Amino acid sequence: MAEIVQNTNLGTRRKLDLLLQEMDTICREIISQLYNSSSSSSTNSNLNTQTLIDMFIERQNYLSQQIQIVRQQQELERQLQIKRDEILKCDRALRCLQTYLLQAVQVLSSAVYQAREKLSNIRRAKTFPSETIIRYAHQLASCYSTVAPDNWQQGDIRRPYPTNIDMRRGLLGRISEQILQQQQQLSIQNSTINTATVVDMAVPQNTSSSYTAVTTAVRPPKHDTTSFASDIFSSINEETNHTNFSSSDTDSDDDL
Amino acid sequence: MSDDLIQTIINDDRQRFLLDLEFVQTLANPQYLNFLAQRNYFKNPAFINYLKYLLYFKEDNYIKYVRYPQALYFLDLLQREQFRQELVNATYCRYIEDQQLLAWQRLQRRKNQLLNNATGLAASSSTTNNNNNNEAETPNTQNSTNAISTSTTTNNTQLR
Repeated sequence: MAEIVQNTNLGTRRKLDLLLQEMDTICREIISQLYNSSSSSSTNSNLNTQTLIDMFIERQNYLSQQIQIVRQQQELERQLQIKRDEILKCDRALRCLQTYLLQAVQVLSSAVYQAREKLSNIRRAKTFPSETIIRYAHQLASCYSTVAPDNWQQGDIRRPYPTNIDMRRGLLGRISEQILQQQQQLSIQNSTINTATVVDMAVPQNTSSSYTAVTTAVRPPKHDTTSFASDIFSSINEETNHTNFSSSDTDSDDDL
Repeated sequence: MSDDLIQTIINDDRQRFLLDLEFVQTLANPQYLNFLAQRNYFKNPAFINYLKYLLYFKEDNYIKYVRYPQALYFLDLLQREQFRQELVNATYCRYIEDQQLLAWQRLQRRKNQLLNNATGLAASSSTTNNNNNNEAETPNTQNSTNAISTSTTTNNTQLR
């Protein structure tokens, strides 16, 4: 029995099982011997009761030792379970960190790529002073040509392009208005020539005076409004010294 | 008399430049393009040559006067015969106008989003992280200006 108990290859449960089996058989043997000895006085068997009881006591001691060992092993198992839980927690944390790392790698790689593209663009680009660019950006933003105004709704007449009103106020509009008026005058003149026969001499003066009268009547609002192109031009010329395009020697690109 | 007026304008360089500038900017109006197409202006080879001549507005010296940069995009498109033919359809011009307005509003929405992000970043930072946030704001504003400017001009420019 000592070899079994000291055998390290056998598990504690197996040892306990064997011990209990042996104790069970010894008990049965004791009881059967006592029963047999009471019924008939036979010769002593090899295993007399005393040795059996000694064996039983020995196995009982082994059992109590094994139970101590079991308690120690239970404590160890509890510790192991705690450690296993900690490992699981760390594992989860590591997986989270790994996903963060992968995301960071993706973001960084795209950022680096875009930064490289930007740098190559910068190297290839023409340089302008920042003042010029800011001024041009302000110019574009002030007439809402690229970005809508914040309070724009459906039905607002503002547009990202010059509208009919703007076009009529401009140089082209004024030219076409004048041409229309002249055509009207010519048609009136033709109609007056056809009907009147006496007042031939007076007709030219009348038409010329009426021509001027009509134009002066219509002109005043046109004089007040300037074309959107000349607006730009005058505002730019206020800031610069030169207005002459034919001679570009005084052109300086620094000022807008 | 009208010829005299036109002659005076053509002889004066300033007036002629103003005329060119006005006309090139009106090309941003798709209804006007439809108007020109329906009156067969695009069939006139002299007119087509004039459109080609107007491409000088894309140079640095002249582009700074253009207030409606979409006009230059349309000027490029107008060099193509197929586009000029398509412009006769009023539905096509209305489609272009709708897309223009939608893009116009989309840029405004994007601008507001980027501005809100920038202010959100600034508001949520603590005093110790001020430096980091300053660096985070400038890329945001640069991105916003880049996003807005790339849709208008085609010149490469650099902020010094």
